[in-house]
Amino acid sequence: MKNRLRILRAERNWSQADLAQKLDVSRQSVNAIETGKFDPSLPLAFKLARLFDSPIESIFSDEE
Amino acid sequence: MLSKDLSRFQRRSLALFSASILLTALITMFTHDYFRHPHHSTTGLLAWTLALLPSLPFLGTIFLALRYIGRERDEFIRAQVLLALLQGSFITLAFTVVYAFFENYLKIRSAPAMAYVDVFLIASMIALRIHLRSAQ
Repeated sequence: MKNRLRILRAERNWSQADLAQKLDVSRQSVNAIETGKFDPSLPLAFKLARLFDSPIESIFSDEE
Repeated sequence: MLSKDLSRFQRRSLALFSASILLTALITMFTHDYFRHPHHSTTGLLAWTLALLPSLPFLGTIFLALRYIGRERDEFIRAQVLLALLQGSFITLAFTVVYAFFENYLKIRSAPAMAYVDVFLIASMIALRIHLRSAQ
């Protein structure tokens, strides 16, 4: 699954650690999601959508 | 040694895991040497106590692992811990097969049963360390 997490984070000038703190997860989790190594659960995906004020489908796409 | 990126709960759990693994290994070595010593008593209550002793820190480790998995809120880290425990199991199985071959065909000294526990715990910890490092 692809995502625009890195772009959205960069637009806000947030570091991975900043985003991790806002999501209450580890920085490794943010890095793993950004690099596509790990797909987040629905609750975490909704949390991201709320945080970036965007629909889930605009952050994540199911293309490989 | 422990990553500063880990939460206080994760750091504390890792420290407890490490301590219980070390304790398991040390007690296993101590009891193994004790029973092999010709002048030590290997009967009665003391023998039963010493035989049970190495299982206590291992049971503690299992308790810690289950408690950790139940309480860990970070789903990525939880997935890495579960993966590392599975890999630890596979490595232990491989070690068992190889060591049994040596025991049967090369007639080397048999390993104490608790040695397999040590292999499992150490392999799982190394696997977890590698997973977390690759996610840096």
